[in-house]
Amino acid sequence: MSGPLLRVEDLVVRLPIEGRMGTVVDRVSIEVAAGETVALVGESGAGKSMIGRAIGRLLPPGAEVDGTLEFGGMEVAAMDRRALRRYRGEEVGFVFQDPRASINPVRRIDDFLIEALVTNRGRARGDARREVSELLVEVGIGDPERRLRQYPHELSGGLLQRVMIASVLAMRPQLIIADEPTTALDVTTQSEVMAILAEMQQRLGIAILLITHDLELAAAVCRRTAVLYAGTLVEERASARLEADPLHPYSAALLTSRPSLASASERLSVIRGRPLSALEAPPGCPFAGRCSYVKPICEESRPTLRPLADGRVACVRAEELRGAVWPLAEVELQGAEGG
Amino acid sequence: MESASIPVSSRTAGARQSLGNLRWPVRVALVVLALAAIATAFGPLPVPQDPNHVSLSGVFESPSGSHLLGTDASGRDIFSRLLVGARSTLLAPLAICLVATVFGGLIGISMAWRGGIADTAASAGLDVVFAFPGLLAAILAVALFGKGLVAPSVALAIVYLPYIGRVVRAAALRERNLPYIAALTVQGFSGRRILSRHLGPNIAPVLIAQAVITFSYAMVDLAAINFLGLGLQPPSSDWGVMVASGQSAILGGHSMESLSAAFCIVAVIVSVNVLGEQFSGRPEARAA
Repeated sequence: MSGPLLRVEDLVVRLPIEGRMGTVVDRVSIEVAAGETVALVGESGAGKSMIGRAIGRLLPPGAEVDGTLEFGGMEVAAMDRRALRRYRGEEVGFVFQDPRASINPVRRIDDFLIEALVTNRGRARGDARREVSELLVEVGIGDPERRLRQYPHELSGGLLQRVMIASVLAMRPQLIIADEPTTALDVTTQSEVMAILAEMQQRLGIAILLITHDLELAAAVCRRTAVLYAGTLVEERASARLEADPLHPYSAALLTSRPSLASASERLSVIRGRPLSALEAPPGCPFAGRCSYVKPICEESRPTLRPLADGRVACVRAEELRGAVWPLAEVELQGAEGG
Repeated sequence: MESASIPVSSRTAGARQSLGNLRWPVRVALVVLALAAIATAFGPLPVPQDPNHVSLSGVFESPSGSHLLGTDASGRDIFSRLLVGARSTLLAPLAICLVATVFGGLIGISMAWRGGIADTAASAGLDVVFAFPGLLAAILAVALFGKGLVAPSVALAIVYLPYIGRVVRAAALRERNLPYIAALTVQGFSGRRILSRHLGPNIAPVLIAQAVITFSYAMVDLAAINFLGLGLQPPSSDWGVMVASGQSAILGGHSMESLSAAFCIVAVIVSVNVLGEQFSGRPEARAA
């Protein structure tokens, strides 16, 4: 196939909020190639989940979507019911944040896993059962036969998320959208679940779009990271490069806000102010109000995402700040916090 | 999702419960309904006496071996008449309840699923129907289409449809916004399958609870219609008719006909409600 597997261009999502249409995702462009891992990182309310939902055409009723959303060269918005069901069921798999809420609590695990294979793939029940049993072993569930007979409430969150991943893998999709797949899990389970996703990606060549607020996690699993702020992309880089040399002041500030094992500090630095949603974003740079390097020019017009170095960044001062942002950010932010 | 899992796990638990574990009102209710069901199914067959056999020499007899509940003003055996009357008294409300439940349920679920203008329009329609008191609509139907069981039954079925539809819509709306429905959607299941295999069964407890209430309402309303002489006519032994035809004898001290028929109505309605509560409405009562 030529071109990327998933192409999102100038995606705009508007939702009816308190009677008015409010923009929650503002001209976001992102591509995922076959077999590639891309992370979409942002704070709560940054619109990252809405992008995931838009890709699955899962937005709440009344939502307006603009821009291009193509999968394998097919326009997702133009798919008819049949094509949409094929697309959702077989080409894209979704792993959600809270597996307990995302699995019908009334049905047993075997029912949940087998149903899709039988209805959408036309397998015989016996074959489907053997298949999901093997899949459960693959995702690290030791005694599949017992688990298959249990109800979701009898399984722990980590086990359920594995079941969820198994259900997605059963469909052999080309792309998995993982929307905060580990947020509802405890830390040890988190790393196990991510390890399973990463292994499946490598072994089966499935592309992953990981939606998360965890930069570290994104860097560990994904080759590329896109940073989202107030519904717009502010930076997109190779994950390793982003960590070493962030181009956008927001990315830099996020990186300094993390606890680090390398250096001990009394308090973690914080970004002053609070995260904005796309609704509240000013016409200029959405981060201007919280940025330590803000200049009048920043508030004049919305900076566009433009290529810089080996990535893309939406900051008018990116060139002059390059290098200055990262090591200096720590000092600046601590100063701001003290005052 | 605790709340979503409770009704179901306890429903299965309820099914596995042995009769011995049930509270005593439930056991009594089961017995009453079993008797009512037997009377409805076989009522005309095993009656001890011909229910319409008039015996002017034996009016207002006291209960005895040959007449278990005595006789009425025409000397007819009250017990036999009650048995025979069970069929019309119970089947008509059951039919009303089934029609209202099936159509109300379908309408409610599809409204919740589709949303938008269809939902708004259907909601308004249901509200208009909802404004009609059941009894009034039934009397209106009799005025338009004549006396009998059919006209008031049809009217009641229509009037009780919104009772089911609105409750089911609310439950389905809440259910469809749960993440597991979205998860099923992106697994590529059709809306019809999600509704029939997942959402529908999961709101069944609510539907059953509401259907039970509707049965009681319909039974009381129909009994009232028959009591007023707008439905079935004497010599029918519908319980509502029997309450009415026995009422003149009460002043003479012969209250058995009215009282026994009225008692049957009350016993069935209370039993239905006790059972309905047991198996649908109150999960916490079943957890014990």
